[in-house]
Amino acid sequence: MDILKIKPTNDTPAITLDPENNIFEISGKSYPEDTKDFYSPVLKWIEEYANECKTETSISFKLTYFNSSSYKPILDILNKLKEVKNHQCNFKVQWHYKEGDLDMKEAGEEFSELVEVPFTFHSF
Amino acid sequence: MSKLIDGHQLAYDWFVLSEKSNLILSFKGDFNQDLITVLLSITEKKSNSADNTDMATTRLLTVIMECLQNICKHALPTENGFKPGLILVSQTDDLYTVRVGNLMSNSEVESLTKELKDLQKLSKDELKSRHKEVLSKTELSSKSGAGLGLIGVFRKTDKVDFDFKKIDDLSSFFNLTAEISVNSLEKK
Repeated sequence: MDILKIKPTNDTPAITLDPENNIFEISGKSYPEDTKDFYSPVLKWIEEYANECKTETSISFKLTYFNSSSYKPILDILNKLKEVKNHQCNFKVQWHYKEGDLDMKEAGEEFSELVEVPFTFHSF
Repeated sequence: MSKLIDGHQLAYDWFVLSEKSNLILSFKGDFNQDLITVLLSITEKKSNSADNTDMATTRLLTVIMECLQNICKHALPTENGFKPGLILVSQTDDLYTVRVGNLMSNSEVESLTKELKDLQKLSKDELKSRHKEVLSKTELSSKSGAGLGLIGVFRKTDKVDFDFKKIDDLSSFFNLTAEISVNSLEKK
């Protein structure tokens, strides 16, 4: 499966989805003007990956801040990974937040509740 | 000639008033996404130099971002398609105040007033549940966050106030003021 790599901009995060090296990371800021436009290819990739996934997948979120319209695509990414049927593809989430930013930690806790998957939390 | 003197006076008065009001950022113009990223990067640099918690800074940036993206999405455009707006951010020892202003269609005043008054009544826990409820119903196809933005502003601030001033039969000036207390946040 192809690697998906998106370079960060002022208002969009860096995204690396690389099954070969087992790196799945979304980091930076996320407040694009058109969230759907930005996240559609990412969601499409995740959907395809979910069908092929054979190994444990640990996805890292390392966001500094994001806008309200980014909540939905992030939730969709998590839900699509959760729906993977293959049991070998155990899905884990690493949620990173800037030290002291309890809002960002809480956002992770809320996503965790919504998708009913436990997250591991790290401050940076 | 008199016009020139008035202009100097306006600049002087504006500067004095800005200093008195502890403004760290002020902008009046036509908002768009590129401008928002510039304003956020200026604010980020300014607040990083101050001795604030990361969370206060992040809250400030998030509130500015949501309010300005709201203007881009919902403000009433002028005849030539611009969306004039205003942002004033002031900072005292323990408080950030964000004021945003823009034109709204009179037909939207009633529904927005109702939405804001409704959110003003909710506690932080109730806002959290409302956020979760709205998020689980949101479709990605909707360009805006379907009300999540305003809920977010209420969750991240200590006080939100608003006002409408009728300009003419079509439009009103909408002002939203949000306060972020620096001290109420846990310092690390």
